[in-house]
Amino acid sequence: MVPNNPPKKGTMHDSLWYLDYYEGPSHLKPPLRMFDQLPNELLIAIAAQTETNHDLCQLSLVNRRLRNIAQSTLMNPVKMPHHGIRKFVEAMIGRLDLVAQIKEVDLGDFGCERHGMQLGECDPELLKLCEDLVTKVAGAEQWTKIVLAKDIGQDDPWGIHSSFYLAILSIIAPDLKILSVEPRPLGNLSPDILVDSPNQILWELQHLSPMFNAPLLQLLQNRLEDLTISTKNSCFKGIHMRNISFTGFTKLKRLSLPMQTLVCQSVDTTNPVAVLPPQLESLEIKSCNGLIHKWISKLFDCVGEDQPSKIRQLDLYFQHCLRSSVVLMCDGNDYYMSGLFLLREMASKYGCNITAYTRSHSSDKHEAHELQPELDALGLLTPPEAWMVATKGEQFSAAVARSDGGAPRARTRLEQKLFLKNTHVPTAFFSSPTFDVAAWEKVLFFKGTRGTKAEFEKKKNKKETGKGTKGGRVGRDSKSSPGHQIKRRGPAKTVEQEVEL
Amino acid sequence: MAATSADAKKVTLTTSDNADLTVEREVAERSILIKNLLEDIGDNGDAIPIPNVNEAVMKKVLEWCEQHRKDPPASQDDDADSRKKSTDIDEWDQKFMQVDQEMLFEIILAANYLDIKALLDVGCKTVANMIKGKSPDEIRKTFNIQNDFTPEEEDQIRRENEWAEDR
Repeated sequence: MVPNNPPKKGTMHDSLWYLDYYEGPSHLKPPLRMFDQLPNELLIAIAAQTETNHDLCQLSLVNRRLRNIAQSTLMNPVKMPHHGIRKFVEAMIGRLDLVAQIKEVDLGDFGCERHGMQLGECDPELLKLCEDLVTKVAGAEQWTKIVLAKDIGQDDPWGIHSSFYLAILSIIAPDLKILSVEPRPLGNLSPDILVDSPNQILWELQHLSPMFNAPLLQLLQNRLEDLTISTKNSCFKGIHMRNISFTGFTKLKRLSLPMQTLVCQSVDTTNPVAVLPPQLESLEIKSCNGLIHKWISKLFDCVGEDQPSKIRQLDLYFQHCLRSSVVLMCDGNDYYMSGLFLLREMASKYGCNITAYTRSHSSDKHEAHELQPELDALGLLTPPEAWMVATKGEQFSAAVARSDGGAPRARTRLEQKLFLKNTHVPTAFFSSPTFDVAAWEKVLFFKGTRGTKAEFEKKKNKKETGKGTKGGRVGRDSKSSPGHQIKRRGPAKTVEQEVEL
Repeated sequence: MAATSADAKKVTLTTSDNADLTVEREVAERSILIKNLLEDIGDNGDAIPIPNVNEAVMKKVLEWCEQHRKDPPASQDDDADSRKKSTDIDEWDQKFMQVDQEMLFEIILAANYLDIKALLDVGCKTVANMIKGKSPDEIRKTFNIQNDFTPEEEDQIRRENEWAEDR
């Protein structure tokens, strides 16, 4: 039987007490050795689905078979905790077999000021171990280089000690190809100081610089294929990011970075040729804002001038919904918008696909959208229509007029006229299946053609003398019930009724 | 039996315990193994033998395929071994996976054999969620696993894993 009062949490030693406690339903009873029968590949697939390092650590303590699987999974990718890199290198010196499996390392957030300090000086014992290992693997010269960088490195973009351990790691892990890293803020200053600094000082601090110190750069730039400049765990850096140059990474195919590494405080963009690596195929730009189109324009300018570019995929991440993102990209400004159209043409000319990742206000998930249909639509909408779309929370492409074939088109002058003149008319009118712009335009009731207009004004004036300041429409509606009838009928009918009146 | 157009879209699968299950081809083709088989041999109306999966499990798997028949095919560049960020399972799948452990592992094995990536993922996620937050001892108890470590080995593993524990 199920006990009515399960033991209280404080006194419970075994969280699976119920397995001993009662004859549980069958799904709570472990099957006989099922887990042991799974082939390794499936155990690896299961381990890969665990979320945290902690779970894998626990799993590695279950039995020998799971130890190998869990520890391998910990290396794929390595998710480095805060201040974990020294301990990691320390542990890996004894497990070179595991290090050899490393392909991907997520270094986490080492951008915070205190990080370097907490790593502290390398104790002599560890230093000796590292020296022996590095000398054995890469030669004494390499060791001298990285120690020198550690000793004299002042403005290390990634922290002196972190760089030192990463250098060792990249020497002992020959297959490391994918790296995720977060650089320290501008000038290695803490965010508090940066926020209070005058712009002038920030502008001076922000100049294009390499990602790592020289020896580390040398170790990494000929092998990394995928690099992520992450901001996800970041303490606030926002606009106070370094401008980073990646030109030396000759094998880099995919790059992900926040937009602020591409633009300067002084509202100018970096030169894409001086930033991007030559073999780059896919570029992902996070937290885009209004400056992004300037940078992309520059990018395509460079491509236009026959600078080599192999970029085939451009992913732009916005913090807004699709509509806002499109407006943001062109500042809602006609001039910039034409720039965007140009950009689109360039993109298709050079075989580069641009995808926008946007999110709705209610969710954190980014969804992929094609930018092109929205841009097309926005270009065809009149300002009042764009306003209307925004207030309704729709997308531009949903609101744009379409020809019979479904292709977006601008609204005709007639349509626009009706739209502007009849904003006071309930939308039910326009949803009429018999709606025909040309017919409706002639209707006096809707302030139709020029000839009828004068007559209408006259009538209106007459009514207004009796009815006060109310508009003609209201006056007429209240006068007779056929007025309501008219609303629901097609335009042709309305003309007749108008004549009768 | 005359093959009408509706029949033409059906396939028959013979399970390990010799049961014949007839399903729509679109549903069966969620399995890459069956899809490739049908493409290779052509659909000649013969039953397809699935010798590694029994009837009860196959029915369960087909139930999943039926529910997910309209899903877009899995992208090829997904690295199966790489650690994913999310252990989200959608609601229907969660309910679907509320089965006893034996069935759960059978489904995982079948999904692997039949090459249904999305189902395999859901199964693995379900097991991963059972591991989540448990101590080694609790994991052993949950899955009935024997501890084959010496205390010294356990100490060594703890030392090796020390770096990882903060995140």
